[in-house]
Amino acid sequence: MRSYTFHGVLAAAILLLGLPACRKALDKVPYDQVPQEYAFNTEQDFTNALRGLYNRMIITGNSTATFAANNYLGGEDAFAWASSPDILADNVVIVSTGRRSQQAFFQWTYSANTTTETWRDGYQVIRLANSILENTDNLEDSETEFRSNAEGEALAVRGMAHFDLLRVYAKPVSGPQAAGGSDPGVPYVTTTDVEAMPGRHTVRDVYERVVADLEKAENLIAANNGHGRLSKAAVSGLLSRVFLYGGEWQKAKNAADRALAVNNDVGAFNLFPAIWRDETESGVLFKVIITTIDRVRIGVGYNQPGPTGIRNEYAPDYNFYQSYDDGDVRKQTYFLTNDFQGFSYNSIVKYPGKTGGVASVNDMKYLRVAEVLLNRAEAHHRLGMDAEALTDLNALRSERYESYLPGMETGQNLLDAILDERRKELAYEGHRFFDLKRLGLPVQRSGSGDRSDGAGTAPLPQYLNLSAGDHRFQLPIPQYEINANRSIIQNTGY
Amino acid sequence: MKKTLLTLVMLMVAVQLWAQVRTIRGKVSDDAGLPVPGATIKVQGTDLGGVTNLDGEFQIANVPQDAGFVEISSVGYNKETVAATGNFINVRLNPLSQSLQDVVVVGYGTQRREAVSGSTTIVGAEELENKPFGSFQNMLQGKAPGLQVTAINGRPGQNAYLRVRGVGSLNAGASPLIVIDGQPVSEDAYNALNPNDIENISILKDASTASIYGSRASNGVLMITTKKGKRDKAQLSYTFQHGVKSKTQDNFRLMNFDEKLRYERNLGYANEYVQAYMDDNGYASIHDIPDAEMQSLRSAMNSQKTDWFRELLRPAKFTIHDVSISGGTDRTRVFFSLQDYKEEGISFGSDFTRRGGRLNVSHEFTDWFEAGTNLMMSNRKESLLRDIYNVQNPFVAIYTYNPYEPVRNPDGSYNLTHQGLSISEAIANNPEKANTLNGVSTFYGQLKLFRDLKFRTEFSTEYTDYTREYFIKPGSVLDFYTGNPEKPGNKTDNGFYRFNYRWSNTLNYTKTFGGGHTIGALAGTEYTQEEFKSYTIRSIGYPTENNNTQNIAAENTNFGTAKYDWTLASFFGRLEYNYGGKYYLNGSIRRDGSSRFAINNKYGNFYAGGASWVISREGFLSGSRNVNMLRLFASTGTSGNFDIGNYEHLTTFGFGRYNGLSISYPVRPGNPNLTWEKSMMTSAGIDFGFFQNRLTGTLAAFQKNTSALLLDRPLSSTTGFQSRLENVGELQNRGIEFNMNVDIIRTRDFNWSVGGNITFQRNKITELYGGDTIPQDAAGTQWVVGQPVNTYFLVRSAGVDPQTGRPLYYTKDGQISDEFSTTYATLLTGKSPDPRYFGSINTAVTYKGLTLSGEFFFSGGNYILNYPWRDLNSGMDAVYMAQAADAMNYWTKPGDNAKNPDPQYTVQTTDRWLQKGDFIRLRNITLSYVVPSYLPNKIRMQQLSFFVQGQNLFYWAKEYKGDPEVGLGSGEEDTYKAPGMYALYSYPQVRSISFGLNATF
Repeated sequence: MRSYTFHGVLAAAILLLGLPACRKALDKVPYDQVPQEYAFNTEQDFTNALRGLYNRMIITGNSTATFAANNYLGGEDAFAWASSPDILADNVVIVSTGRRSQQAFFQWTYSANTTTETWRDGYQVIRLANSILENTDNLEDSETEFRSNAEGEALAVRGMAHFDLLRVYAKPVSGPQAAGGSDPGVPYVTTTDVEAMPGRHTVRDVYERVVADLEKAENLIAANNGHGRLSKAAVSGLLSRVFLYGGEWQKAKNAADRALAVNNDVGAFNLFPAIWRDETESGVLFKVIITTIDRVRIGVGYNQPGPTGIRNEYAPDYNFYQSYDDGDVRKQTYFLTNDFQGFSYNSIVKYPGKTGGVASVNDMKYLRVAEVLLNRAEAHHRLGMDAEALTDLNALRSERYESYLPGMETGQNLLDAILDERRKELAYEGHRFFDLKRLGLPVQRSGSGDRSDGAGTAPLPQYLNLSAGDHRFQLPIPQYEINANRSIIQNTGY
Repeated sequence: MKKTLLTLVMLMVAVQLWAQVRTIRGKVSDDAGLPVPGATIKVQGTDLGGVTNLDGEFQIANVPQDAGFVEISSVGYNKETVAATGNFINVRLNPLSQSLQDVVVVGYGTQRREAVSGSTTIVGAEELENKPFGSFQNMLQGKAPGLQVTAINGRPGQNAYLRVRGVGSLNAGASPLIVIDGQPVSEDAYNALNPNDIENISILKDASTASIYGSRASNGVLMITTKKGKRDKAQLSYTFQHGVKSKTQDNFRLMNFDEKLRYERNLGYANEYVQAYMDDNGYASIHDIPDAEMQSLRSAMNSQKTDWFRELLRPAKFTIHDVSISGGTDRTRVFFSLQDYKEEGISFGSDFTRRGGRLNVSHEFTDWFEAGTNLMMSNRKESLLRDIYNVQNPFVAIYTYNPYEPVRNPDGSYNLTHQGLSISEAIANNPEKANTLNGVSTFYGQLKLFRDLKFRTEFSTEYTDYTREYFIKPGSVLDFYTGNPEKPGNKTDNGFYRFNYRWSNTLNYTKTFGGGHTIGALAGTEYTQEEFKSYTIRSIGYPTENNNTQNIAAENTNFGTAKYDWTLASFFGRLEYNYGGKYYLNGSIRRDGSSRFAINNKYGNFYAGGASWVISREGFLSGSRNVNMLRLFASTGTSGNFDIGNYEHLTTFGFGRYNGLSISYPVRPGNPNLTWEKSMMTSAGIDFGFFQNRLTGTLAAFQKNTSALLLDRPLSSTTGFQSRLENVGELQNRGIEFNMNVDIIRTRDFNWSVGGNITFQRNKITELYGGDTIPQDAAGTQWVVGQPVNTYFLVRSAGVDPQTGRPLYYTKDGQISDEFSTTYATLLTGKSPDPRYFGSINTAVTYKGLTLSGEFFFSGGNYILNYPWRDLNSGMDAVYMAQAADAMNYWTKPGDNAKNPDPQYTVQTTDRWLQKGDFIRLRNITLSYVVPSYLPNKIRMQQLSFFVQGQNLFYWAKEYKGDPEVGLGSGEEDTYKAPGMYALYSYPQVRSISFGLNATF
């Protein structure tokens, strides 16, 4: 019996040892994240979050394993800022030997399930901006300058992202097809409440909030935050764009003046090709830097290099391509004529990859001096200041055309020339569809074929024209949002 | 034979020595040590005998002093004959297989089947051996009512989706807990398991058995017991199998060479070759080419004719070698096995090899101390294919490349086809290989503290080391598309290490009191911890295609590691009581604490209770000739589900980089109230055995209500998050299960039996937060209160307008429209991916050593969205790729009643592509022959048998196009992986024919 007692004691001891009483063993925290309360304490924390704003513009997902391109500014094959607004418009033609990615955008057959990511990813950036703004009180021991720059940068990003969502999903702010007073824009979000289900503010309302945020930001933000981040001149330039869309010509001119006073380098003729290989900052007011490690191939929507030459998804519209002068540096920079599977194609090579880098991986040039100059030229013209408008236009043209002689246009011809230059300068940068929409113009494709001589497969007739004011100028609000948020109403026509 | 002879000799001796008398007393117990009441005792060579009482005890007086042997028999047990030496005999009876007395392995112990207040199915080794699958999960299809088995896909070594009594969860895991020899294991461990090592699998479906696993049991539990050595029975066994696998046949065909070219011309599409001809001859449109010229152009292209199925698929060989040695002494048992399993995939670039071994040892050191170990090591090597929705996946390629596109160009290089990629080239130049090393072990010690009290401590570990290498060789086509011309080639190395350990301590008490009362009690603690680490490295710039380690690359483009751990701490107990082997009661409780939940919700309590009544032991039936067994059982209880991510309850910020500098950003919305999903299962049923147990079966019904469902509740995306994991919603699963087996002919040489089982089940969502619907947008399904999980939500097709040829759609309110709009999408009430019924029918005919057996599996009531079928009937949108022959039936002129609309109209995803999943399949047919024993005995062999079998040889689908067993839609495209929701070119199901032999020494 003695041995049994011994066994009993042994068993009881083991049982007690094995008792999982240790409460600490059940408290586990992640190795690669921190609870929110540790995310905004030091200046370094805020600097990280501010840089995070730009990372979130191009990347979504929370680790390298679940990495994906962000469809706000980093889109590849779904809605992609670098290509979709051009595919939606008249700058390209779909190529029959491509993968037919983004076909729904080219054919205007998108549905509420096609446009989810842009919405989602845009608001993802906005959330981070709001998180920063809600926590700047933690910076009470900081220098005022640091804090105001942080607030300025976050406000600028918040305004910028809302404005872009407005451009995609809502009617234009001004122009012949302008939204009515009650036409819905997008929700203007200024909280981090995860339970919030905001409705759509009116287009006018959103516009005014964008302006308010950007104007406030312009006052707070530092003059120079370095490459790949917003600085004061960029915010001014952004405001000139916003006012142009809003039809507030004087304000557009004034904002452009402020931006150009800091930087009026549109990118010299000789330097121009280097801009697209990201070898120079010349001509760039704000770009999102994309590295090889990020693997975001923003140019992949146009084409991919292949073993038998460049395989195009979209080629330039033949007539548009022909409209470039042979002495135009942009023609040599934006396009390359090459053979693929026995036929000759014009390829769009605006995103060739960085020198020595992966194909299609380039910085996202979001705001260039040339655009601000063109914004001002247009504003000048609208204000009846044709001479100043012509000066602006010629300043750009002199850096684009070989042996350039200054133009002499006036009146409607001048406006046409400004808009034509705008189309040529900003082609394949995510402007064309929004410009047509802003001006209340239809999309009219030439109907040429996909090859370099205009022959080859042409789009079917029903894919050639989108009349002005068609409901498809407003992309459908994602079904996911409508389902999750009862306050949201869909755009008409979907 | 030897034994019987010996008995006879002894008996004769005994008769001769008849002289004095004595009284023999004894006790009869079963293999679990529990008393067997009502057993019949007979003293050989005499008329003396008796019956055991409720405590299993007996007493026989006036036994001759020299009586040699006593026979003990009881219904459901093997008859035992023991020497009548001494005055007290302890007899242990072994149960007949598959009877009520089977030992059911339950959590932390075993129970006799009749004591289990549920309908436990035990799948024995004979049903698992020599089936041509890499994973045991697929072998379970049709074997047990209430267990739904759907192959994930046909990839070699691939597992199946297992669902016990319906879908238990919407968002958290829905697969049962798998326990090998007491150790809950991961998917990797059961992938590593050699199915031939399995002694049996107990499928625990009811609360009374499963609930002891608490927070992990709500999807049922599969208890796997591996083989152990048997006392005095040394055995060496060798099994060999070899066979060929191929894709199951499609029940439709693609357009052939002539049909496709004609179809293209009719639609006005000029392919690459026709276009070249047009350019050379100045034709603007394909319609301008005269018929005669078109004819000669086709003849010229004739040499390019390609059967892509033949080019890209192959008859896939597989070979299995299996050796095992088992044996034992009074105190030691040993089982040792080795396996070599090699299977080719049906496509080039897909292979599976598994090599591994097992050692199970136990030893009784003293009367009161026993210790043992179960050890398994296994290595799997795989060549993998992309499971993606483009021609990088060969199973997309076979349905995409045109029959007029050659594999190679005239110069011998690979033809990139209209898709710009040759999958043959990609397989050769972009190899993807994975290697998995697994070690699973259990060490235990068992102390007998007092006569009826045992203490057991168990320490088990599971180790997985996974490495994967994917090399895009420099110069390969894919490298041109995705790579950097200055740094050609791209290599990814990734993998993980996972270590899981568990320590459990249990006290087990069993006592039988006078008057037939037996009590069993169990109390225990358990602690589980898991650590996980992973890495990814990717580089570009490889100097040669033969060398591909990371250190030789020009530039490192991606690198990262990840890490997590979780813990689970538990206390549990169980009480059992039975009276006279007739009335059984049991109850269990478990308290689990998990690191996955928020601070205030870390612990959860789970309990269960059940009862069963063996009517056939009652006096009024005990003598019945035809009613041999009748038992009623019922139980109810709770269990949980913690199968979610690790830190979901925390609101967190993560880090990364922008332009080479640190960044932070919001990762998770967090939910401080996050807790278990809770299931309440109630079930009842009846077991029966009639006509000398020639007709046996079980009928059971269940209802499982799951509440506090862990759901990714959609959030407005304007918050920056798409969803948050919350406990919202309730779900109900109900069903009826029935299985029956009939021995139609039962003679010595000739036997014929027929069996089968069927399960009817339904699930419906009974509550969602705020009564809302939650759309699963990508797949076109919704979660709606009152409807089955994942009810389809699609635009309804209204056919083709015979006048205009336009496709027609129903609007939301039932009007017909010729314009498509996603707003027309309607909830298709009652249509969901889950089968309403499934089951199997099997039969076996045996004549002497020859057995022919067959099994059919059927399933139905489900719907599958058939994307491949849509792609193959897509008119102008898909005229450039291969099309089904059915696509030729399209509208051409007013009045046509065609299946397909005018091809110029875009084909939309509607319920036109939603097809009924009803099917029946000839699951297995086997012919086997056991060589009469005198032949192998001559060469010192105990037994020799041969078999030939066919698996999945034939299926019949009511409506579905393609193989109707759809598990995973697509490995890379699928974000929400509900089995069978849609088909999207994942690895196809396979059929096989094989032969083999089994030799025992």
